[in-house]
Amino acid sequence: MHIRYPSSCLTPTSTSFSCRPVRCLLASWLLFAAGSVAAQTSFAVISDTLANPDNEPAPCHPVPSERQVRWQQTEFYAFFHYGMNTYTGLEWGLGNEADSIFAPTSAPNPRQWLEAALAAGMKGGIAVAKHHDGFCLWPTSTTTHNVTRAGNAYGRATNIPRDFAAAAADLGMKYGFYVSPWDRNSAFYGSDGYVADVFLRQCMELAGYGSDQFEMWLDGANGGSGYYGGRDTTVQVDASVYYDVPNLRARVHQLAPYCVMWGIGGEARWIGNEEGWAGETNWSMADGGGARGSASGQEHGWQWLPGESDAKATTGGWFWHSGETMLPPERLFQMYLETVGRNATLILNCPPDTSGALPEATVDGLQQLGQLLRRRLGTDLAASATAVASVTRVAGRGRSYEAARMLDGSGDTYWAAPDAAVAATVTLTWAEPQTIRYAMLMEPIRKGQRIRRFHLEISPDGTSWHPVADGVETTTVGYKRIVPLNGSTADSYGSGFRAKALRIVIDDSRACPLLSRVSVY
Amino acid sequence: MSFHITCRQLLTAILACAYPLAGRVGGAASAAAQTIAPYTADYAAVRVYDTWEQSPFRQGVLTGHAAIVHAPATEAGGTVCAEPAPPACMVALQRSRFGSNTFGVCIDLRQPFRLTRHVRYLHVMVQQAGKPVPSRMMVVGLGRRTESEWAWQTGADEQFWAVSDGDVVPSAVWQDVVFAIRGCSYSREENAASGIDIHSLVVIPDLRSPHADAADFVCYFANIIISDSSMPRPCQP
Repeated sequence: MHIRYPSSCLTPTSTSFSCRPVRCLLASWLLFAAGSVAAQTSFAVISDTLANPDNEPAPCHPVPSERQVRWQQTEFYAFFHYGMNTYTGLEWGLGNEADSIFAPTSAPNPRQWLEAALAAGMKGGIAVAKHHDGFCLWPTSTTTHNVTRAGNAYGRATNIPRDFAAAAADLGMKYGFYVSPWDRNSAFYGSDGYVADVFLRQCMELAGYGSDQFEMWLDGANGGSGYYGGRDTTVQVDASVYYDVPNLRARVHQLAPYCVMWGIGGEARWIGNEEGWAGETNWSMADGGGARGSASGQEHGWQWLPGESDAKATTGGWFWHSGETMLPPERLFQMYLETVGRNATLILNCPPDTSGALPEATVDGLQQLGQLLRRRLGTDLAASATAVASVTRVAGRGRSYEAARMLDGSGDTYWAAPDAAVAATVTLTWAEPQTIRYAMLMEPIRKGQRIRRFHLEISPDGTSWHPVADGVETTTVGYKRIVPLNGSTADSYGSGFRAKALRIVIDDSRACPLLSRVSVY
Repeated sequence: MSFHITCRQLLTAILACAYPLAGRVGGAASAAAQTIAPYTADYAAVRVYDTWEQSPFRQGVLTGHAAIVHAPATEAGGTVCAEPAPPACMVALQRSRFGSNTFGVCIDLRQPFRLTRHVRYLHVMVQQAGKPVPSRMMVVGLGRRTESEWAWQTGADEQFWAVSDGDVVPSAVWQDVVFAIRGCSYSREENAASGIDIHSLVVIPDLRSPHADAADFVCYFANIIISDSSMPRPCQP
């Protein structure tokens, strides 16, 4: 017989029960006699099976959300720091800058920014909408410290989110916005009112500029000295709870379902440096804390939290400064290899100048980078190779896993080893020797990140083998791993290697290894 | 104090006709402790939960197995804790190998509790003799903001994720696992009820990936309280 327990008797508080002993006793006996189902008397394991007609490998958790998969596929995109600091020469404005200081010498041109990014091979961009100084680059209802009070007509007509979103749509590029949680101008910063009436509303306004935004950048820099509406004081906050990120995220996702909330937003993590590199070992998992930063992630992290590397393409700061120059294309290519090529995304900063446009040198530099990427990583030699694997998973009803799946150009197929295997070898062979310089591997991350360690070997004649990529830690793969075969990211091109065959030896994995794509350049 | 002992002992004695419970009563909870017990009117109060979007438990392919169970000590096996007081009921979960590493049981609360900005501690008595290896546990709080502009929320938005300090060792002995919880509770001065209410708790018994597990296992949870004490409640026979 099941017993229904009156909560007043059976939910002791720390201080008292709500009934007297006799009444309690009587109520319990009455209920015992009446009987009503509240709980069962036993609990046993129920035999459960999950149909798997395609013999797919079980996911190795954690795995990314669909939002995170799409974000990862963006790979390489631009950062545009433009705003009040462009006109003050500061990196972190104090918040006391007069609105009139913002006075572009011509109409800001987000389309020009994105066209230059596209030429560099980037798939999108993030535009700063509000930095720590608090000046908003759109006509927000949350503060008067915005473009409507700018110093000239160009400034007062500015609406960066609107124009950036429109340009991205026109060019077929992804877009999103940086909005600083920290606001050194706001009189309310540090109080509950700032979060409820300023910050969250600003995020909602920005989310309203397009439901197809791919990322909202929430800087981890929070708290410190500032103007704060004239208080001229120091305000410290606990960023882990002050901004109500869980509900902010829920609301933004209502408006923009595929918008990854970066940094304190908790869906992608900072790579931990601003020099443009990720760890050669780089897991997409971590134990939360998107703003904490880690170049290598955590193999046993409970959450899928992939890394993004933010780096500057210029010699100056994040905002434009007179006299700065573009980094050489070879250096930017190195950054690409050490970020996109190490299971991270790269957001490369290109600051517009006081005209509201990218300087010509920046446009030229980005074009050269694009040419370098296309020349070095544009022709996939694996397309003309045949692939075999030492082990292959048994095919299912609608899916097969042979090695050729890595070369078929489909994002949906992959080579897979049987469940019991954590090691395997995949060999690509050409009819004639090729000159090769880079090998690229990709895991189907919807099944989790698995490969712990691998190494590469080449054969000039198909018979003798020797290792390549000397000095490179060939550990994790993840979404994408690009290995310079001469072992150098700084001087990766070199003379290349003549190879009739390339062998990828997977030494160890968390679960049966899978590869969705192998490319050779 | 004697009033409380008398009432509780009487109730214990009533239950003891079916359940061999004995021992000292009283608990280690602080004066601020709030009991969250799985006493609900129907089985809808517990269900399996998975944060993984493509989980067969969210796609409707599998239903999972979780229930409120009477708590004879022998049901879960192992040592009966007299301190803290033995539970009248407990939550049972079949931890499925087909879920993710964040698969667990969702317990709907009779009364939501307010999430605070300062740290409080959620205590869960756990018995999971069948868990294959030591591993971390997690609790997720589901809830919503109370202000009118958040009326679109259903109370199912994940508000916090609290991981156990270390691995929880599989044991037939009940053990108290402690989770530090807090959240953003900004409120408006003009609205005293403003804040974040937690409507449900998800207890995740095993944060490992289950992809290599050959079988499911059963785990039990009981005596869930929230207090200002981080000290685990000892299980004293």
